[in-house]
This record gives sequence, C-alpha cells and structure tokens, in this order.
Amino acid sequence: MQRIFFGLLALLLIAACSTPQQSTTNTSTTPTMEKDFRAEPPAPGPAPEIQLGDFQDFKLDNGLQVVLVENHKLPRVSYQLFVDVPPHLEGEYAGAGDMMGSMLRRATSTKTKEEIDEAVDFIGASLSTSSSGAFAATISKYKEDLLEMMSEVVLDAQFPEAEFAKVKSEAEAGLAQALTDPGAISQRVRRVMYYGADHPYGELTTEESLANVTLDVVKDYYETYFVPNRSYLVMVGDLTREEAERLAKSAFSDWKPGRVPVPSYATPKRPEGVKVSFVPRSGAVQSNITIGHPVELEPGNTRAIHANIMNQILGGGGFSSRLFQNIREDKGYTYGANSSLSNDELVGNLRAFANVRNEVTDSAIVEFLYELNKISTEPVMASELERTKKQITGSFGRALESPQRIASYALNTIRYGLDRDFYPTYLQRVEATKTSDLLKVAQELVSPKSTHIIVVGDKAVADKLARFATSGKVDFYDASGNPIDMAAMEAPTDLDPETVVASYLDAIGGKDQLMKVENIAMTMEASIQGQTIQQTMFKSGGDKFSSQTKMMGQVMADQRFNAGKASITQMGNKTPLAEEQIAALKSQSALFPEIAWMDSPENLSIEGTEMVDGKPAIILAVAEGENTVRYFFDQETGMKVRSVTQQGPTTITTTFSDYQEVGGVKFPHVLKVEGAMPFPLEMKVIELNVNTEIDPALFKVE
Amino acid sequence: MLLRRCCALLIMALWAAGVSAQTNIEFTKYTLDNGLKVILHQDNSTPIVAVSIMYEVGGKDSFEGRTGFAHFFEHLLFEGSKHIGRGEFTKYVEEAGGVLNANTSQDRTYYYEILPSNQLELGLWLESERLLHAVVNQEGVETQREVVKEERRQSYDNRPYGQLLYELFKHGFREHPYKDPNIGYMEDLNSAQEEDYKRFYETYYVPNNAILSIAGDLDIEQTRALIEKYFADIPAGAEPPRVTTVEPPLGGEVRDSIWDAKAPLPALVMGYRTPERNHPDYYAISMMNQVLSQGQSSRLNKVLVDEKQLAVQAGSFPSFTQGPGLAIAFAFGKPGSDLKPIEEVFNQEVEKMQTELITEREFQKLRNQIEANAISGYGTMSGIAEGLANYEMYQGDANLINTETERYMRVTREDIRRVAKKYYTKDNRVTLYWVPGSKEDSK
Repeated sequence: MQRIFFGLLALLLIAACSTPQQSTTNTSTTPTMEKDFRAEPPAPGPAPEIQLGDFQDFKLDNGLQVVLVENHKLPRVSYQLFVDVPPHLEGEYAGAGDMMGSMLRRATSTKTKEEIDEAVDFIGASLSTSSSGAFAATISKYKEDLLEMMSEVVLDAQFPEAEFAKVKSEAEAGLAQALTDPGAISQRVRRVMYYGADHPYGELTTEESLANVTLDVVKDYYETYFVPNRSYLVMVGDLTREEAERLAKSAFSDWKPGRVPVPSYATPKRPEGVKVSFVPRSGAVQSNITIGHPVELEPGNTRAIHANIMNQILGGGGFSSRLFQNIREDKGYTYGANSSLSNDELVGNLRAFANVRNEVTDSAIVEFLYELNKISTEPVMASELERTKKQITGSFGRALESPQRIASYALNTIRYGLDRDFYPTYLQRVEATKTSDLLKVAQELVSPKSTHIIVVGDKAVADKLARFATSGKVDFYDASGNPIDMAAMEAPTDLDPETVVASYLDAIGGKDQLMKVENIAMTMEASIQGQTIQQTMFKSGGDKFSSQTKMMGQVMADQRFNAGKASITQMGNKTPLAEEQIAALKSQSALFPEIAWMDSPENLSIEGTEMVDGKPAIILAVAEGENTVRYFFDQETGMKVRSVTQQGPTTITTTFSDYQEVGGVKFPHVLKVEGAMPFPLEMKVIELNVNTEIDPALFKVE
Repeated sequence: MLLRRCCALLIMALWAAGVSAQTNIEFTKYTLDNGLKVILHQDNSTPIVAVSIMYEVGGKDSFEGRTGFAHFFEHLLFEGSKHIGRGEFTKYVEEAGGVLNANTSQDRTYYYEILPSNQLELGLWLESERLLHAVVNQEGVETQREVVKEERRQSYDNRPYGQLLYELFKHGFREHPYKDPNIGYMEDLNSAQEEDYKRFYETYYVPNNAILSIAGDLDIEQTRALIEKYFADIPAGAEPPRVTTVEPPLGGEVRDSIWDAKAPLPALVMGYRTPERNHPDYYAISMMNQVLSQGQSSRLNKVLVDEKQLAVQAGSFPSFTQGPGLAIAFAFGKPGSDLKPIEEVFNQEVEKMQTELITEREFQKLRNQIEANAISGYGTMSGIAEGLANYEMYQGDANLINTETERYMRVTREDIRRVAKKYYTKDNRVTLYWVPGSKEDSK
C-alpha cells in the first residue's frame, strides 16, 4: 500500500510540472513614448544627515534612574520600568521570575484584577508587566494617571492565591507547548551547551521546577529584586523635563531601596574542538541546525559595530547575505538560513541556523562550516561592505521615526555607561569601517574549528554527523539538555524479531483469523492542494493486486499484478516496467506481508526502541533487496505504528493509527505520510471490506 | 510579494481599531490629466520618504475561474519591467538602504517603498516602471505561481484556523465574489493563462485606477515636478469594470462545523451581515464591537474569559470590506471544551446590547478609547501614506484621516442599541463551530 502510494505522489508531482508550456511574451503593450529617461535609475540626491535625537537623564534619591526622550510630535507618552535583575540561578525554582511577572498586574491592596483592567481600559491605555518590570502607553492627557497606575501595580503588588493557580496552569501549558516545538527545543539545548546548566543563561525551566514554585518563592523574587537602585524608568514622548521630574518623583520616590546580591560566574568557554549534540525527535521531517558558540563581545564600542557589520554579511542581512545566498538560493536546502551575533556584558553568542530537510542535514552543515571558515579567514568583498553600510544607514534613518528605538539607545547608554556620543557617532564609525576591521573581528569571534553543532531531528540522520565531531562521535540529549543513554535505547535483549512480528499478528487478530481473509477491498481519500484524491485497492488470494488513483473522477494511475504479470498505466498510457517495479507490485499483492517476513528471519533485526507519540516502540529493520525499511511496533499493544523508508534522497515516514476491526482483523484507517511532499499528507480509509465480491476484470493484466 | 499578509485576522482587528486621527495631517491632493490621483504629505522631521501606490483592484475583481488573480498579480509585478531586470526591484531598494513590500485585500492592491529621502526619485521611477512597463514572462509566472502556492500552504492550508475567513465568507455569501478566497483556489492558480495577465494588466493597471500617495521629507513643488516627469506621459485607460453583484439577504442563519486538524483549540466563529464601509451605521457597529471586546475589561473578555473561564480569548470587529461584508466575532474555547455554552453566553451578551443601553461609564470609556486610538494612530510616514490612500479609495475622501473621529463622536448609546437590534439577529448570521481534529475521528 505504501509503495503504491508513493508512486501516486511522484505522479502528481510530474503532473504539476507538465502543465502546457506557454510561449514567452511581454504583457506590456501599453504604447510608450520613446523617451529614454526611464532606461537608467535616477541618481540619488545628496545623502541626508541622520541626526539622532538627544535624551536627558536624572536620578531620584532612592537610586531610580530616569531617562527622558522628549518628542512632542504626537500627544502621547510611554513608560518603561526596567528592573535590572542580575543574572542569577533560580535552582529548583527555575521559572519563578516569569510567574512573578504574570502575577504583578493581578491585584493591589485596593484593586482586583477586574478593577485594574477597567481603570486601564477606561482611558484607552495599555499596561503590561514582566519579570523585569512594566510597560505602559497612553495619550498625553492621562500621562499622570497612567504613571500612578503603573507605580501602584508595581509597588503595591499583592499576590492572591486564586490568581496564582491560574498563572501556574498557564506556565505549565506554555512549557508543554515549547517542548513540542523544534525551535524551542533547540534553544533550550543550545543554552545548556553554550553556557552550562550552572550558568544563569544555561538554566532551564522544567515541569519539576514549575511544580516546585510556591507563592512564597514568587513573593521572594519580587522582594529581592524589585528595588529602585537597580531600576530605570524610561519616559518617552510628549513630556517636558520639568514634568518628567515631577511625575517620576510623585510615582516612585516612596520606593525603598535594597541591597541585591549580584553573583558572579565564570565566563563560559567555547568547546575544545567541534562538539556535535543531537536531540532525537521521532518522525521529524526537517533537521533544525544551530552552529556556534559563546563569544566575549561587550556592547557599546567600535568592535561591536564591526561585529554587527560582519554578521550582516555572513547571515544577518536578509536576502543578500552569504548564508541565505548559498544555502537557500544556490543549494535550495531550506526556506531561510541566517546568523546572529549578540553582544552582552556577561557573555554573548554566535549562532548560524536553518531548518533543512532530513537528507541534506550533513550537506547543509558542510556549507555552514564553509561560510564560517571563509568569513573568518578571508576579507569580505568591498561591494559587500558598501551594501551593508547603506542598509545600516537606511535602517537608522527609519529608526528616527520611532521614539521607542531612540529610547532603547538611551537606556543602553545609561545602563552600560557608554560614551554619550556612541549612538550619535554610530554611523560615522560604520562609514569608517574597512574590510580589514571585519576580518580582524571575525578571526576573534568566529571559530568553526571550536564550535557547537546542535541538531534537533530524526535519529536516522545522526550517524552521518559523527564525522564533524572532534571526538568522532555524536552526543545525544533530551529536550532539556540531559544526556540520553543511547545504550538504554538499544534493542531489548530479551526480544527477537520473530516475537515482535508474532505479537503484531496476534494484536491485529491472530494468525488463524488472518488466514481466513481471502481478499481485501478498500477505498482511501486524501486532500491534496484543495483537491480530493481517491485511491481504491484490491488484493485477492495473495497473488493478485489492483489499485486505481482518481482525481476529479478521472483515473490518474492504475497499477496491477496478477500471478507474475504486472502493469502500470498513467493517464491512460501504459509504462514499461523495470524488474524492481514488478517485484514491488508482487510484494503488494501479499494480503499480510508480515506473515512472509517469518520465512526469511535473516532479513529481520531489532535495532532498539524509540518514542513514537510519547510511547516506546520497538524498531524492527526489514531488509528488502537493497533497501532497509524500519517498522515501529508499540511496545505495549504490539501494533504497527510507524514505518520509515528511504526513497532515493528522501526519507518517508508513515504513521498508522485509528485501527478498526473489519472481518475480525484490525486495519489502520488513518495513514499520515511525511517527507514525500513539502507538507504532511493524511490518507483516510473511507471504506474497507474483506472477503467481498471483487470484479475479476480489475485483476486483468493486458 | 514578500509579504505574508493577505487577510490576517489580527491585522484586520487593528485596522478596525485604527479609526482615524484627530491630529491635523496636512496634505496636497490633485489629479493628473491621465486620471492618476496624487496625495502628498510633507514632514521634514526625519530624512525618509514613503512612496506608495494603491490600485483599486482586489480579490473581488477576479473573473470567472480566476480567483486570487489580484494577489497573484501583485507577486508578478515584482518580477521586473522593461528597464528593471528580474529580481532587481528588491536589489535597487535594498542597495539604497530602503525597504519595500506590497499587499492585496479583497478590494485593493498596495505597493510601497520606504527610502532615505534623497532616493525619492528612485521610488517614483520604480513605480512608474511597474505601471507602464511590467514584463511578465513564463519563467516569472512559473516561479511566482510556486511562491504563491507555498504562501497559500503556509498561511492558509497548513496553519491552524488558516481557513477561518474563507469559510466565513463562503458561508456568508453566495453570489458576490467575497465568497471566494482572496488568495485564490489552487486550481485557478494552476490554470491562469498568459492572456489573463495581459487582460488584467491592461484593465486595472492604468493611472486612472490608482492613487499615488507619498509622505515624508519632501518638497511639494519639486515632488510635483518629478511626478509630472515619471507619470504624466502614461496614457489613461478605459474606466475599469466594477463588481455590481448585489448579494441578497442571508435569509436565515447558516450553521456549519469545520474540522481543522491543525487547530489546538475549539473555536466559535460568527459573522453578521453588515452594510458597506461608507454606510453611516458603520460607526455604531464599530463601537458596539468595542463594548464587546476591546480590552481586558470588555464584556466578552470579562464574562467568557475571566468570570466563567469558558474561553481563553474572545474578540470581535466590524466588517473590513469596502462593500457590504461581515462583522466578525470569535471565541477560542479551552482544550476539548464544548462550544455550546460559549455560544449561549455570547447570545446573552448580544441580547443585552439589543435590549439595554450601555452604561454611561461604558459610553465614556468608548469615547476615550476612540480618542486615544485616533491620536496615537499615525506615527510613521508609511502609516500616513497608506491611511490617506485608504480613505481616498474606500470612501472618496482622504481628509477623513482628520475628520472621521467626529463621526464616531456623533454616535449615541441609542444608536448602538439600534444597530445591535438591526444587524445582530440570528437570521442575519453565519455560525461556525471550529473543531480540532478531522471529521472521521469524531465518529
């Protein structure tokens, strides 16, 4: 059934490519006046000067630092309260900070959540909170009221039990969702690999740590870290200096300072050599690849500017960057390949990343390493540097429209103690950058010979990645970065292939029952690109097979086998058959091919166990000619739940579910096929009969 | 082209909430001899300029068997022109330090570039080439056909609730082309022929069917001269045909269940038939929806999400189409929950709107929200350029960007009750139960 199905897919793809060719013509027939002024792009005028707006800052007596970005263009204001919580380990309570952030807006000593909501909505404002403070925005006439509300929510926070239960269940749901997402899994494992679980950046929230968090832990976080002497109030918009001082004092001068412990941690190091970490994700059709390592890159200096330009050329600059051009435009391995290089006072990081289809995982890594090596050993082209300078300048120009972005520059300047003219002179430093500056910074920050390679994907692709590892082997981890003991996932020693097959046959009805089946007739349906495909299939006596694929009432493909003779007709045309195709059709004619497996036990081997939809399944490898097909049997029920097969360069995964009994035998009624097409495809059995009347003409092979 | 926005639900919600500005946005408006409308807004405070052009052609203007043509065409018009090679639209803009994009709704197609202000002329050159000299060859058609199909898969077929709007309009309209998906049916995308492109370009891409809207760091007189240079010689075309189909009344509630294998949560989705954008009742309907769902203290959020905890999220907004359309309401239930109780609560809330006046305090809250939205609505040059073009095209008056708030302020509490009674009747609505999973599983 499976193989025929792939034949169908191939056919559809061909059909899609063979739409009638049309001749190439220009649709533009609008009469034009023969003026050549449009033949060349117009020359730009003199480049405008980009003048970043200034900011002001002052400090309250309790240590709260206030940053003001005045902008009176529109009568509106926004406030950001940024509480600079020092990076620290939360230990067994990891996740407590985020829960505190959600709790903040849920009660004060005089207001319930409902009353807070009403007050904010009544003036058409917004107010949100997080583990590192609060954000609010409104129109000018409520600028006083809203800042008072913000200070009330933050300074007079109450933490009612009833709201805590809601917040906790939301946090649990959020984590559960993240653990199913390959991108989120990759990020978790990357943090552990880059920084180590004993560094704040490498510490992960888990189900257990969320369960440990109590209301007291949440309150403790609030009391320890929410102090004015480590906080910044950023006021943006239609405010004068005098107003800002008055409002800030009135709202926040009662806030009591406190001493906050600031732990220090050893700076995480790059790995020695190349370390390959693999997170197996059963049935994945894409590999999520991240390559990179921690970097020592502080914000706010010329080196950070050079690093930014270098990264834009490597993979941070959209369509024209090297990774995008190479891995997507040239190789077509992915929809997008990018890189990022972040600066940070503690420790920054380099990441090059893409989602690629399984079979090109190793080839994509080769290209990533090629580009990382190239940028760290050869100067970039002058044209690449010029284009990137233009892009950065343009982006600064657009930023001038956004007082929020100016405010973030102001906050950085104060928080990191940068030169006051760092941002005002940013573009001059960009302009002065030479290709030799970029090579120097790349040599320091990009080390493809000392890097992590982290892949989340199907275990089958892992073997090919060992060659990249300095140790010569791939290390396996779970979604929280804990090492997986692959030995424990190896074949259970007390099982032999025959037992697995026998218990499967038992599970679907027992051999006696299977022997009573003389023929099978079934109809399946799938929806492809908005169209319904119908496939009928008939098997009789173990040596006759017939299948028709229909689309909009038309037979697209017809495949038959009858006692040694076979035929395949596509769109009414008979196609000549190769030996393997005849053999394939022959094997399709078996009513229950698993019974025949028992005749050649030398072709069967147990490879281990793997989780399929959260349940352990035994992997049985079946050698079929040149190919090996892997079948997954649920360890508990014995049912066949998945098959994985290699068709040329593609890995095709079929998941079987919804077993229903027909004539004493259980048949899967839903088949989900992944990897054959760019999207998963679901085939549903809409009718299935056994020992029924089948028109003998269906088995006729001309 | 690069965009991912045909009709995202959120965007429309924002649009609906966007109302208009009370601030004074000055602009110059005139029409070239060939019929091209020009709107210029000068603001020299930042050295950038947004150059945009809006064509009055959208999903609804497809012809039989060619749904989704306007959107497909938008992609094709990035392919190049007589003087711009394939793929070079993007290159010119990026190398100038700018950004560009486009989007298509059921009613119009919109292209824009945001450039450093010394590159204004580049933007005019690119848009004049697009209007006058587009080159659509087979290679481009085949490439963009695949890109659009991928976009369809990514944004509609392969995304939870991706078919929501399409299903609503399919159930809510039988004759008017709003019944068809904006992005088109796959088979129509596959079968588009070369003569279709030619016909479409000649019919709709004419200066008398376009609004050139430019905002930013410019000089009005210089800009007028440049526009004269690049656009005055483009010949006018025939007046494009307009959709004249009048959809008969719904004539009874339309109910259905939609299975969605990708959806994590069940959802109640409803659409009430409401009049065109320019109808005076638009404002009262819009405010009624605000009472129901704007902010955490709004009625639906308070009752459905906080008090009864039946839903995780609820929302509603007025129709976003130019012609008569659907005002939409939705609620996402908790995992595995029954939608019936949610619908009952929703019906009770609508009934309250029909029988009781909203409170004075709620009314004041509405007016405060409208004022706040209006004031903070237009902070960017690209927002102003698009806002001016939208008002001019949808309602024939760009100045509504300044004056529309007055129309909201004239709405009374009685008006809100009246429109609730008039339009929010059972006979006038589509009700869909959006069910996670596939139909067969439910047996």
